[in-house]
Amino acid sequence: MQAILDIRSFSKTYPGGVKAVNDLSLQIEPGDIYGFIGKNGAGKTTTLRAAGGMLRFEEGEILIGGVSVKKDPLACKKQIAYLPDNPDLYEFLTGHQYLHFIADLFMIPGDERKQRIDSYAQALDLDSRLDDLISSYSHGMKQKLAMIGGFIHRPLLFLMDEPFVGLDPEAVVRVRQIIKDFCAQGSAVFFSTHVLEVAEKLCNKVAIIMDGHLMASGPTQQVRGDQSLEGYFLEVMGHAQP
Amino acid sequence: MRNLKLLLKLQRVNILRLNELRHGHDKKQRRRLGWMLATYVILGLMGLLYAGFFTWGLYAGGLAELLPSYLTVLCSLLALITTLIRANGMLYGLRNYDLLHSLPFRQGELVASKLIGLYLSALAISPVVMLPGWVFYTLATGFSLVKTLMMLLVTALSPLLPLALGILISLALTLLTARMRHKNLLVALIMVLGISFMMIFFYTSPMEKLEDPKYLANLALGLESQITRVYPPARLVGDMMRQTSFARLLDFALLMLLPFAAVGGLLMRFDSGIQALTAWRSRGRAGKKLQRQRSPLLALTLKEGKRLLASPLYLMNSSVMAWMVPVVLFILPILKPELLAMLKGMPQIMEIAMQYLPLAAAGGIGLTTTSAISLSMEGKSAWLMGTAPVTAGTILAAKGLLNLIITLPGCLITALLLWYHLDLSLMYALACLLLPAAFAAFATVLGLASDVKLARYDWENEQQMVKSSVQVMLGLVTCFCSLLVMAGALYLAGTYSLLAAYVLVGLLLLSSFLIFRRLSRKPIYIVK
Repeated sequence: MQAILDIRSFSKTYPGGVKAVNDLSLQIEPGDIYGFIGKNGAGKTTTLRAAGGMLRFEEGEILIGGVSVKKDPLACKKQIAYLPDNPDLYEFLTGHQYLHFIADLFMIPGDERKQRIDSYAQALDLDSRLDDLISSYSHGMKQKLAMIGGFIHRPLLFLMDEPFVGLDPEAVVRVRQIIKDFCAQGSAVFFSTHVLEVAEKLCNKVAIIMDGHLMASGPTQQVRGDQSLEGYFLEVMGHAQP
Repeated sequence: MRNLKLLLKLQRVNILRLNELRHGHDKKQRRRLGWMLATYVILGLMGLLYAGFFTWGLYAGGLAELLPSYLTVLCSLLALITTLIRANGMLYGLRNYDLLHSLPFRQGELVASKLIGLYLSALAISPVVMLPGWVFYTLATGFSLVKTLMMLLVTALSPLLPLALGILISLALTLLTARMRHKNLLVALIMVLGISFMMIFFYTSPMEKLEDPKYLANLALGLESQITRVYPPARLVGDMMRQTSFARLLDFALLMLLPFAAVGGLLMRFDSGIQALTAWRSRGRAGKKLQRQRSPLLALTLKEGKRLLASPLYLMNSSVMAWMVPVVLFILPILKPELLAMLKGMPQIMEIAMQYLPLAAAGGIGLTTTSAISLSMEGKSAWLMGTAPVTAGTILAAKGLLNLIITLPGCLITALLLWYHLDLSLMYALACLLLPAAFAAFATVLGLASDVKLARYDWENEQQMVKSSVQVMLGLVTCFCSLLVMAGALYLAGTYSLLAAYVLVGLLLLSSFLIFRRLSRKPIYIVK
């Protein structure tokens, strides 16, 4: 089976010499809900941004559906959605306008987009606020709106940076269900998180990154062994301390 | 007082982003800031040169006596225009003030710090205008320490009344239109009309009585009386300098200080209420038309338009100039029909004017663009463009199109009005349409090019981008230099200036196409 996301020996050094990620390789297959776990500054966002085509990198290769992000970024962007850790959206648009703007960029026909917007907005309890300007939204509402914007074009891969931060408990449950349904249709989600409990319950695979190095990756059950994911994570971090 | 000092220090350390230049470690960023400062210096020098040239003209024509009142009117007009454009952004658009409101500052201290910031930005222009004029005035009348001190005081005091007026006008407009859907557009249109009226009165008043023998007998006084009709307080300055009168100085000081203090007091008293009113947001409309599918280019262009209309600061600074020329051309013959007849009766002046008319229209319409900061205006939402499945060319085309949508109708109306009022030949009228249009296209891609090169997304408030970004300054300087080169070409062409104008159209369009094609191949919204 061809990987949806194939990261091969990816390294990123920022101008100034800081090496954020070092020789990272992992593969995400259709249906995967892949958790990316690590401390602050471990290299999670750098990896996600590089996969999203927003970060230039020299070493390694990232393929989405077999297409190189470096060589054909446009083809890759058509296949993915990206949700940043802080969903800064166009505050001068209303929720509806924003979603239609995204739908226009991905050339989703009118009827289809309406049905998808209605369905996701209802699921995330945002339908009553879609006519309001985004500037009036709370952080959680912006997060939900950005998420709907990602789902409406049915991407092959959804890259999410800390998707559960700022969501209320009900929304967390709903988002988890939406992610499960989305991946059951053959797409994949790759998300970074600090919430190990969510990762353990939701992800079929996880990767742990520390100081730019991949410490472990694979099926969640296999990675954590007999311990909880939290226990395993702390153990890895503890062993890695100087 | 201590708190006010702290607030002013906060503004001071951030002025022209000098703090970033001092403490930043990013070499590219430092280089960019260095360029910005250099551009400010160049613009200041150009302003000095222009003011020097103009005031030298008055000095050489034996009209040096006119300079104090004339300079006061000019400084006040500039301060008023600056305030009209900046007041709302500075008073109610600074995001970092949300944080300051949560700190133990008194409302009065916060308002005072913002007013002082506005005053200093209005004052910054005065020396550029005043200095050359003052040199020529001293040359004509001899050096006097008392007069020099008086003029320094006039320089410091003269922005206060225009500041108070500007704040009141822009605040009144904001409050009147607070609940309207297209309030920013409406305010911008009113501002364009207002500024056009002011400029017409300022520039045409001295010409009104050129045929009156009494007026010509004492031209300096006559001109002064005409100019100070636009702004009567300047008459006090003229009298003060002629009579070295401290009483007139006191009158002038009170006339400047009292209205400013009154407006300051008003703002301090009602600041929180005004904040609440200006923060009012209208609900959008989810009409059925939204469900219609649009092409990515159209969707991006509409988005750019919505961003422009949502930001009064961006709208005023990047679009107002484009509409000033057609509006002035529309109003002028209605307000002052005699001027047009007078101009037509001066064939020599008309001949010179005709040589540069298409270029003057081009400069007036195309000098400021929305495109110079259009990439940077994405700010923290730049990730949306970074992940959008569209080419760099489509994104840039949308940003460029917005500027052309704003400027091209202005070019067309300008050409039609010139054609109608000056009885131009068809070929000449066409040149008045094509040269401004081609220059607008050229300025658009130059703006895009500077923003592709120098884009910055980590700004905290729009003020940083709109008012003090290197891209805007660079765009202005390069466009201005291009205009100078084209003026030189038209001068050299002499009687073939019409043909030269068409050649320039071709060159501008070709350059625009080549620059745009090159830009389209560059990766944008990708971090290194």
